[in-house]
Amino acid sequence: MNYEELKKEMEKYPETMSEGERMQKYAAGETVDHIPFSIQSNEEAMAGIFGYTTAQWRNDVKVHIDVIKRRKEEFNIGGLAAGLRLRTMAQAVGSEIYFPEVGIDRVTKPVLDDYSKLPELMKDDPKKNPVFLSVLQRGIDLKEAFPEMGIAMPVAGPFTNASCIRPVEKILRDTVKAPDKLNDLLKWCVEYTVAYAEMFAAEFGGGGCTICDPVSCSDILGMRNYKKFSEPYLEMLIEGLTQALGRKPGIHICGKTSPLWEEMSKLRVSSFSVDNMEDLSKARDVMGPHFGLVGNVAPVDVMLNGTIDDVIATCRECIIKGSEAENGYTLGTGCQVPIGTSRENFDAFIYAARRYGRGARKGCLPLGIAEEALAEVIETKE
Amino acid sequence: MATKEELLQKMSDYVFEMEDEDIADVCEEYIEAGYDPMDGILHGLVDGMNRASDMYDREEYFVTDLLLCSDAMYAGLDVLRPHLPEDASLGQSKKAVIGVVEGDTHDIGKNLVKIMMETAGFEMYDLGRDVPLDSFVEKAKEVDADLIMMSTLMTTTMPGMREVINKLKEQGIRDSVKVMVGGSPISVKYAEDIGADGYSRNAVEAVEVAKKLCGIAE
Repeated sequence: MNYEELKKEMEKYPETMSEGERMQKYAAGETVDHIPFSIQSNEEAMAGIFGYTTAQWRNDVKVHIDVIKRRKEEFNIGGLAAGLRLRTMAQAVGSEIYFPEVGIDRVTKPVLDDYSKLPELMKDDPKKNPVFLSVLQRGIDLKEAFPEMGIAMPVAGPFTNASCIRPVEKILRDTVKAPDKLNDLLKWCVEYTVAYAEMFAAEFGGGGCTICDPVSCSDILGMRNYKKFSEPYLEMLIEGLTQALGRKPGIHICGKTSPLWEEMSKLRVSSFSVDNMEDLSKARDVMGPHFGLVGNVAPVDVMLNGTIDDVIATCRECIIKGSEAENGYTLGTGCQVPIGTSRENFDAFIYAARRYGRGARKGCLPLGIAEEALAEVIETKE
Repeated sequence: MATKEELLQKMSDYVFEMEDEDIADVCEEYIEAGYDPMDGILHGLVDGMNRASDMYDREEYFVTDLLLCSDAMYAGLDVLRPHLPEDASLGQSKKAVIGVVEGDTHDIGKNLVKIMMETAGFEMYDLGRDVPLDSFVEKAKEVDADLIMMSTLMTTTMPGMREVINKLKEQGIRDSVKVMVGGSPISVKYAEDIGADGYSRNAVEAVEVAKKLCGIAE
């Protein structure tokens, strides 16, 4: 299908609920116009679609506001975010970060090469930290421009934060060579992050939160180290965030996680966002009874490099695999949607949610899938 | 006094069990007893690393474990290497240039691939991270490399891999060097699309692919 055909097709499946209404009703077990969807961390990619560089979006609040305004007008996607991205805490405490004109920031020099510096770092008051204050101020500016939109805060997981503060190879060796010091660092990462959640709650009165913890995947840590160094601090963080924000956070862990699912099912989160390298139907069976699921359209092969038809077919498959999850399912990407993803593919994603996800209800295959399957059977018989 | 076999076994075990402090003593003892340093490397240290990579393949060892095993292996190599004859070669002497492409600094995956390749006997030229694209080509020409290995974690730097391949074509050396790519956003499909010769999901698999591409029998 080309873009013109897609636009025409989209008219057949109009939205009849607002995002907020849809989420609320779906959570309450009612039938909604279409399955909720979430295209993960899409602001950078959206900035690109609207002709801005990542740096313009990052540095200029007017550009940021324009991106959100146009995203709402052109894709009907709302929602604000002002939180701690993967490297924000590291930046706040002194790691050197490079921010490219177009692209995702990266750590160039982690601040903690030697643990003797840790006590000094720990003296920093997060509530007076200029990086945290500027992130919060951005949230205030956005909320002022869009008072009708909800505001959420992403945070990084403790092990991920630690890996941006101390070189990751040292952290991994610390699991054997300096476990006590690593424990101190991880605990501090939790406290520092929860302090931001308290700042956020004081300003906005609470809100949604997603923990992103790419370094906690089983490729890197394995079960033994996940249980020792990730899980206890994730639990501590989840509890702190829940208290500060008044609701349970969701979590996203990149990469392979299936060996940890039994353990992860114990986490008291609202949802788990599954990476595209994992099988969503298996995730539904193992984790579905414990919390909602989100996922897992491939961001690179499908969203960035796929055709309109690839995006639609993958979304359809995800809806089939995920929608019967006991505690609900949100059609989502398996990780952050890449910069460079086309307007066409965003629309294809939304189209698939509306068409195949139409008439969605928690725990059930949506009518969109069921009706089209039935029509196919009838056609074959005729 | 321990026999050669006992010492080799101990060296292998120490690598496998991540004992990077005690391993130097065993290697010293092995050298003092007059045993062949090359045997010590291949049948002691590398054997331990191969056992670790088997465990990684079975998902019983993880990145952290491989890293710690390699620390032990390198601690042992520091003792044994000075005793090798000058013209000694650890393996097939195939040469590989490796690096993380320009714009990206995530190098833990690249470092692991380098370790496993060295363990398998490849002569590695590590350009590090955030490597200018021309450097891959220049280094490959300079050392007459058999293989170029590129890695990235970022989607925005992926196109750099295609550019390197194009640069190799422009310089007329594309056919004389194999190109492997890897990293979290990379897939077999992407590798094929940009005209790379090989792709691997992880460091252990990378060695198998590299051997195949260089015509080295298992």
